[in-house]
Amino acid sequence: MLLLLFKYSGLGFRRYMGTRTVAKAITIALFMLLVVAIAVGIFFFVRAGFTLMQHEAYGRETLPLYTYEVFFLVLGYLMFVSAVISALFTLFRAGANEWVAATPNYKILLVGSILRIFESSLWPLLVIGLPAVIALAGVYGGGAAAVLSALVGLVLLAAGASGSAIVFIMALAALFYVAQGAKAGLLQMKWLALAAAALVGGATYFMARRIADMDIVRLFVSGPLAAAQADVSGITAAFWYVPTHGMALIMLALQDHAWLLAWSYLAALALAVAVVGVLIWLLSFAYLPVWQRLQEQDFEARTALGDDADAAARTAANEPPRAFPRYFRSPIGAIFEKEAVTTFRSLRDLLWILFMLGLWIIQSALNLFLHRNSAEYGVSTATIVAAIQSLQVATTVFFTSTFSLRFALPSFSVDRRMRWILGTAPISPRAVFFSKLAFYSAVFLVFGLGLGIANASILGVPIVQVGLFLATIAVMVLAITTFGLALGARFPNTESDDPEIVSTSLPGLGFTFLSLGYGALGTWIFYQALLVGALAPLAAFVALSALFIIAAAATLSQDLGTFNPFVEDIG
Amino acid sequence: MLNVQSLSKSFGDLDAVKGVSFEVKDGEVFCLIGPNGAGKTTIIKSIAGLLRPDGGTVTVGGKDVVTSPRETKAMIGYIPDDPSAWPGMTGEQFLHFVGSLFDVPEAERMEAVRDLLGTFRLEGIEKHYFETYSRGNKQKFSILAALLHKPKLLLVDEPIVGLDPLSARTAKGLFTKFAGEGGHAALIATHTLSFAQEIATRIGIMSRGRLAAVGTMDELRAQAHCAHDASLEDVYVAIAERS
Repeated sequence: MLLLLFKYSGLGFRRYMGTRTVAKAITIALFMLLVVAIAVGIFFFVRAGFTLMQHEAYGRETLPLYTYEVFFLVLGYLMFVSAVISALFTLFRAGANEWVAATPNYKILLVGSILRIFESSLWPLLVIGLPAVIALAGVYGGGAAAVLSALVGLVLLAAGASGSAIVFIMALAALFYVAQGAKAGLLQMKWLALAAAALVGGATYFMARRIADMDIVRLFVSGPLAAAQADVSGITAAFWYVPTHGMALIMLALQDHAWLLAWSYLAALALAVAVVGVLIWLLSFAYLPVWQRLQEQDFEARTALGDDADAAARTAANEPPRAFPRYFRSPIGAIFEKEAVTTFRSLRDLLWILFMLGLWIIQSALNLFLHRNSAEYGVSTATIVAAIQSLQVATTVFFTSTFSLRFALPSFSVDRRMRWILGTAPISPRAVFFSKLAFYSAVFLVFGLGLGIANASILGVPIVQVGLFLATIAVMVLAITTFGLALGARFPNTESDDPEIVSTSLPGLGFTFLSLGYGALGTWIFYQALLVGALAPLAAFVALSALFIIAAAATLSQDLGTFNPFVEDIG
Repeated sequence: MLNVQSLSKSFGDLDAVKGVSFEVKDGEVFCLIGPNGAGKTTIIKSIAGLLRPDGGTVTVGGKDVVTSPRETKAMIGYIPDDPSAWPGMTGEQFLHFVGSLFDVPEAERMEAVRDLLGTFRLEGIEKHYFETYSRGNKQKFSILAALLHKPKLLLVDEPIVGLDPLSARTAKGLFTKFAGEGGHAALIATHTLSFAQEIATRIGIMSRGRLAAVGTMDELRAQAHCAHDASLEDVYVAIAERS
């Protein structure tokens, strides 16, 4: 039956390609181009970096090992957290294959979910990992054996990270199931998500504190200078407890052509993955009852008739009527508040926002951590402050683009399912556009400017520089948000209302390329302005960005006078 | 109230509606019946502004739905066959949201929501999220939302799917009462022939994108050469076999 479901997935792809084939072929080609561009970039970056390290005879092992540790720690963490979110919304979801739960082969639902989570963890790792290991084999030698061994390690790492996430969620759900006994109520997706977020957040905080307390300089001066090579014990002592430590050791052993050692580490990693597999198998016995309970939730088929009349009257009396919208009383205000309510009440969206915002905060903190370390060792200069602020601009652009891609761009496509409401109301599509623009701009500006103000106040830069910095951030956030929303309004996806699918469509890919290119250009111009005082290019960039926002909004507004994204047959 | 002249609509090679003309006068409940794919929903969506007609004209209260969409939409209340709404909204928020889109003042909305909730005995669950409602309750909220701004024309696509018998009776009463108020009319597309026979002042039978027959029950019986007490089902079968 599992094969049959996969066959249906394959047929689904053929059906997907059956309409608008050229546009979809271009999308796939662009996507592949993006993947290849990333892979090529990683290949050259890794080759150049490790070639430099190889020439540093004393740090021939310490520098690469530290790099492996940090790289795999960050990668492993990202894979684990994204797999936790996937597991929460994949394992117990009653989607199109719900009927399988009514068959004797109901565990296929679990197997299918596990494979999907593993696959979504594996392919990004391979895009980054494959060119990296080929580059490393080029620098350190070892040929196909080294590449293959490293690849096996990467696959095991992906399996370990996604498997651990699955065990974590299944164990948590089973625990809730047991704890609630016969009474329903505790085992609900919202409580499960809250507990998972609290535990992952706590672990993240613990890890972040350990890393922040690490003294990078001491890690590298721990060995005797008379030795041919620096001792790696300082680094292994600092990272021994990290789950990705084994992968770093495998890479180090492969780099030294210590094959037996590398393969023994691989075997240990495989054993750890096998243990995760056994845990999943054990937890699978609780899968069906947990799945069934999670389908129940708060289902409301009753009305205030019969036995429910008293309860309904009590509820009505306890909670007085409340109008909506609460703050902005107009049709445009209603759409603004609708966006807020639907975005922040969706558990999936909220977890996604918290995850990405958490990464944004961590990256912003790391920027400041870099400043603190450089100040501690007396190397803090205006150049470093300029670099750190530019890094913050780049960070803001990256995360605003990610948020816009996930929320603003698919917004009109997501609302197409509810077009019977928006499409039949006497409100113009341009009013819907401006309401949505106001909402997303406000949220992204709060994120971007909030972290920007924190950055500027900790760095203690002059007020004029703070103004330049915040103005650059504000205008770039607005430009990216307007672009994403306008693109999504003009080219709504007529085949899917899943924001994750809409993000990977042709408009999504175009947005990714252009917004990141725009962000890179803005960051470089900002850096030059701080570094050499080239204010004219920055002023021109800000002015042109503002002009772009106005022009894009005006053009789309005019366009939406004749083009209605809520009319069904626009395809 | 509603005038449809030579309406046509195609989706690629498929001609969903081919030159359909009919009129719904004030006080009328006009039911469209016909097999799946006959074009009923396409007609309703073209009037509601969810589809753009390829040919013909549709006017509501004398205004063209293509050239004056805001004016015609303000006069229409639309009840879809699939009442999806944003899952994170409560039923109460949903009603207010739709009312706001139609510019109904807040005080008026508060009063209307309170009164309308009682129609289907929904008091007490209006603060629950839409995603938790059963199909029937979603349908009830969509019916109430369509009535909130006091429309002149009600467009209803499959009105009683998912409703329990008592709620179906309530809905029937609502539509009849609505059309009976001066200056109002209702156009209903349905597969439930007993419902149509009971509620309609006139009935249109659709077949393959065309209006095969239009008239009151008596007129349809005559067109179908059926007995004077023949049910709509008998009439429908006779006309469907002929066309």
